[in-house]
Amino acid sequence: MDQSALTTHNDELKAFNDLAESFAKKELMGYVHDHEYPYAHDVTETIQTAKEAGLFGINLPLDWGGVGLDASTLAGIVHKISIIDAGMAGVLFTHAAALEIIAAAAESDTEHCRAIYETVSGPEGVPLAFQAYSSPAETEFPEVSGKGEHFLTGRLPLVVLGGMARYAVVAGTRQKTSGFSYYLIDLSTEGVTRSDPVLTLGFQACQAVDITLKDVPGLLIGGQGKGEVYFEKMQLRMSLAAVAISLGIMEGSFKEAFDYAAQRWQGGRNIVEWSAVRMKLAEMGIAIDVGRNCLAGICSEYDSALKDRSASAMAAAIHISELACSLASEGVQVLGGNGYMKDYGQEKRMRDARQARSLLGMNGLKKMNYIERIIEEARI
Amino acid sequence: MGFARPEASGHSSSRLGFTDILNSLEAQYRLPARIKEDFREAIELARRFNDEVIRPIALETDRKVMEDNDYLPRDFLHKANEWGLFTLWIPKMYGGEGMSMLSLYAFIEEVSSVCAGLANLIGAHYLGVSVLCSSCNMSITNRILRDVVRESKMGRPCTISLAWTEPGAGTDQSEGPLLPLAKVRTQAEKVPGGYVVNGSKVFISAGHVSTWHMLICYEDIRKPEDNLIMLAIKTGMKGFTFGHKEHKMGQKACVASELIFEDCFVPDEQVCFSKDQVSRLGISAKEAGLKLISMFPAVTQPGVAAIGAGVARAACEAATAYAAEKKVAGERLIDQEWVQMVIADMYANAVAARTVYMEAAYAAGLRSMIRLLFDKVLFSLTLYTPAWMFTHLVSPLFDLEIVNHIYRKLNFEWTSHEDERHMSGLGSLSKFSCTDLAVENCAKALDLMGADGTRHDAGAEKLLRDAKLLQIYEGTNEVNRINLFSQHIAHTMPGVRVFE
Repeated sequence: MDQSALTTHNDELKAFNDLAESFAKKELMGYVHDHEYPYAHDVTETIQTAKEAGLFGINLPLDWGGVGLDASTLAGIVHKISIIDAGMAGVLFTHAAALEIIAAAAESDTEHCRAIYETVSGPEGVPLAFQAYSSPAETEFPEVSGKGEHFLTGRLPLVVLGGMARYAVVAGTRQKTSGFSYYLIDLSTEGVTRSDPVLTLGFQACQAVDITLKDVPGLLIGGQGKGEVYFEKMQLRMSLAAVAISLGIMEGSFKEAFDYAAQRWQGGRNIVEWSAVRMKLAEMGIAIDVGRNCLAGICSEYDSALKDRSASAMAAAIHISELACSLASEGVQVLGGNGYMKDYGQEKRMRDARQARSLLGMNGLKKMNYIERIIEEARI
Repeated sequence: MGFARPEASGHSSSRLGFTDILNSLEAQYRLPARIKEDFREAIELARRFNDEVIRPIALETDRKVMEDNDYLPRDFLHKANEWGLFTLWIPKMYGGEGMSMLSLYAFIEEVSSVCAGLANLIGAHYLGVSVLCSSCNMSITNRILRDVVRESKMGRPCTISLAWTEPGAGTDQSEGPLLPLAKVRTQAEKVPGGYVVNGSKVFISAGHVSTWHMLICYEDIRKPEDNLIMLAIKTGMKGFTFGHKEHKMGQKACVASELIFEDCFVPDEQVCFSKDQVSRLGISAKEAGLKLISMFPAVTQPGVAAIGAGVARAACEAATAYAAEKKVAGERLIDQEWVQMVIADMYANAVAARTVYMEAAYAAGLRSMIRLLFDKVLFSLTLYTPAWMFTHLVSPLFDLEIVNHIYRKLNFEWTSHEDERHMSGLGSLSKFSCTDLAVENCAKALDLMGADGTRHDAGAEKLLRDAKLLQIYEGTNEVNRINLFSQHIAHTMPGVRVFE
């Protein structure tokens, strides 16, 4: 089965896909379990290599030293990496999501975001920490105080990359004002307390920490109380990457299961000769083809800036992540007992698929948001 | 295909029989009334054990094994031993406490609702006990189980594992039609006074912490179907060593072990089942061997199903507790109708799982090798006979060849194909349906809980990791589906090919 999920629209995209594939094979293949808890290998070295390769600057504007490309390019990169190690794709995703919050704010207030970009495009601006596993609706915000300045106090659960990043993009709210705002905070500041890495089901290379803030100064990103608008814009763009991560996990699962079935001998023949195994592989393959078409479709919509791309991208992220969970679990079944063991990659894919499903928030809430958009459009 | 009642009407088009689905009804009048009391006691015991022993260490143990795969929860084994859990369900005639075996399923569900891994350290022991008993060698069964009881009373946990799966043969060995094709490597060669074993076994639940190991291997690996042999291996025997411990995704508290045999001499007194022992039965050694590997899963698979029911319940409870606490956009999740429907589905799954495994358990109680334990007369006799009488008057009878011969006849020869099919199919049905429901509930719980559910310290993600193994061990759920088809459906349709 062809491993390429995305139709390469142009040479630039292909070049980045090749770069990502090369990085994944060289830096991740063979080290995947070293990036897992209890962390036999320091993940920061690999992140540094990715940084040097330019993988963190895809959606950073050209003016600030980035590549200035869009969400579909990023999707192509995280897709290639997820085939081998979705955890590392989660690292890129988290950083890119934080940048997209800034980008959303910069669309209407470029000048105001200059100081923010200056900071994050510096040598210590990569990677950025962000609460990539949750949506604001399900999170309690730190309180913000100060006149003309912004001091944050409160708890931030599961800040992804919060253990290693210098800066984080976090949400906060002021009393007696509606909505929430995003802030850039320096995690090395006094008043920031980081927990030990939180052990999560999947994406263990992409460590998260709980953070407690006490009067920590923050730079307001964009307008006061505009956080929800920025989150929604970011969510729409990053949904493409979320789909791509799930799709990468699916393709990795298929390859593992297919290769195993071709070699494993049971009942006097390779198990790929059993019709039940073939049916399982067929269903996995069909799900992948559906996923590819889905991703290609939403990337195409995104590139052509169709009005309703938002709903499609969200729908795809919800649906494909569900397919990935089911497919990765079926992949374990094809490998039987071996699939459950760390000697093979499949149990990790099953965990990663579930973690990928939590990207950008609870699925129940995503579904509710989706239908709310449809209802709003119908009212219009 | 409906579930009509052909025996009742005689004119139904259904291929499924009345007894396929109503064992509980039959159990009501055929099983001793005291069993209900045993259930109540077992559940109360499990809940106390959960609160005092399992709950405080479940997550910590899981994490310890993640950090050090060599970690073995020996303190837990000692605690379980102090609570009498390794002897409570050993029949009185073999020196145990003799609590009804059916109540063990309920106990397993309860403890699994807190930690499937720790629960399996207890469950795997009774898997070993069941396999030993199913050999129908009363002499060696009596000796080993009394050793278990004796050691346990001395404060030394003495448990039994089942050593069956091989690196190149898992499913092949458990299904009769596939056994001739199995790439088995563990062979027991006959020598004067016993056998010499060479080979290895993998994925053996609780292997490293068990004292006895029920080793199923073959006198001739070229024809495993004709040469099945079961040997009792004791930890420490010359030529027997433990290999690596598997790095599993879940159920980390229960080690999965490699067992290595290098010229391991096993004396005749430790041969539980061999073709010689069944040579005087009215069936062939092959037939007896296949009955053995078909019958004991019918008793043990509802146990795996009970673990599934426990995990399904745990997931439902975790999601409900979370939804009651969690506020989204200022409103509690649990006040949302869509959340209530998800929780209702999970609750229904847990109840359905319990119903299914109990149906299979009743079938085992009525028809399997343990059915004698539930005969009302024998049950009462056993209940009121003092332990010393079993030790001094009954035990010696187990060494008599005639007693063993009759017992083997009863189980291998006089168990009808119909009963065998019925139980084997129900064992598979309970195993795959309950464990699938467990995984489904875990997925629903994680979906509902979002990122919070993926945190180790929240406990929900462990449920999914633990549940996944249930779909794999004791025969993958795929193989169990085919076995159900074979046992309950295909036999009514001549010409249907299964496992071919």
